[in-house]
Amino acid sequence: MKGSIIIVSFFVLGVFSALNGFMEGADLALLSKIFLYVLMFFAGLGLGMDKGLVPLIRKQPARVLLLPLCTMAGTFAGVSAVPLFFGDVSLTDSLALGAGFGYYSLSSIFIGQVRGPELATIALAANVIREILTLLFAPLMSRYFGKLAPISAGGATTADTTLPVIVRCCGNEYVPVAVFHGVVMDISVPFFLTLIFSMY
Amino acid sequence: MYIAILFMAAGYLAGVLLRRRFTFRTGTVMLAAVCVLLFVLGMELGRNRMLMESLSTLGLKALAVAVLSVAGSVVCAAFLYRMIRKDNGKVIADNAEVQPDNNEKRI
Repeated sequence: MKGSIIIVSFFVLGVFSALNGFMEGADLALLSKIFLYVLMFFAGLGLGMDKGLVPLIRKQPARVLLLPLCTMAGTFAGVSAVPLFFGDVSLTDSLALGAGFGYYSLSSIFIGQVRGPELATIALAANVIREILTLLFAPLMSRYFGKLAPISAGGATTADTTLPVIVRCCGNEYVPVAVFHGVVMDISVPFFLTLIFSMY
Repeated sequence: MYIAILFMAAGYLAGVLLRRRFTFRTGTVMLAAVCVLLFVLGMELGRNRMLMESLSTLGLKALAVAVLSVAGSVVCAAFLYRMIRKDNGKVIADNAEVQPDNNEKRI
């Protein structure tokens, strides 16, 4: 939990820094991309130095590969409840918002082209929040719901941005599952959005 | 994201090649990078005036979507985890020899 508090305080610090004009001209997209690559390199380095990893992948039960289906079913079941709380959000809109699976850049662009900027803004925020929730609560999820829970919660982000947190919560042996899961979820986003928008 | 996976592959290769010479705990570096990325994410939010102003109204909907999708996913994943454990008592592997090197303090 101490790590989560450190992380959230950095996030809040970032918001207030930006509001006060800190690093106003800096290219944040480039900065985060560089740090993501650094992160990925060190995640890989940790894997490469782990001698037991390849035997672990071979022993992986096939049913772990059902995890992406769990994430899709769980996400769509969850967001189906959104119209109960907000009468002005339709079920198809809710499903489209859920189908980002945390992949906020692609899903908000996609949704913006079909449904306009308002839903795109919600999609951007919802999927950013999904990523943040995963980063913050991954330790609690793995403790109370099993080690597959943080991976499912991370959605499409588990092959990149949330992978380091998953590694620290679940252990290196869950990385192949997380990467497999993230790649499948990533690819599924445009397909699900196309399918959902065909229902309008 | 494919470039990011290429970076991880490069790190993996470096790790395999170097692991006979020395070991390196990557957890601290990774936590530092996560902090920087979250700081940047916060800045991206703080910079976007449209997003900041609409957060009060649209943010509540977004929060509901995020919480409900995470909750649904977590419950489904817990079900799968239990199903696998009940069946053969293990999720990934049961070999005591193949424990991860990275047993540091968790985030």
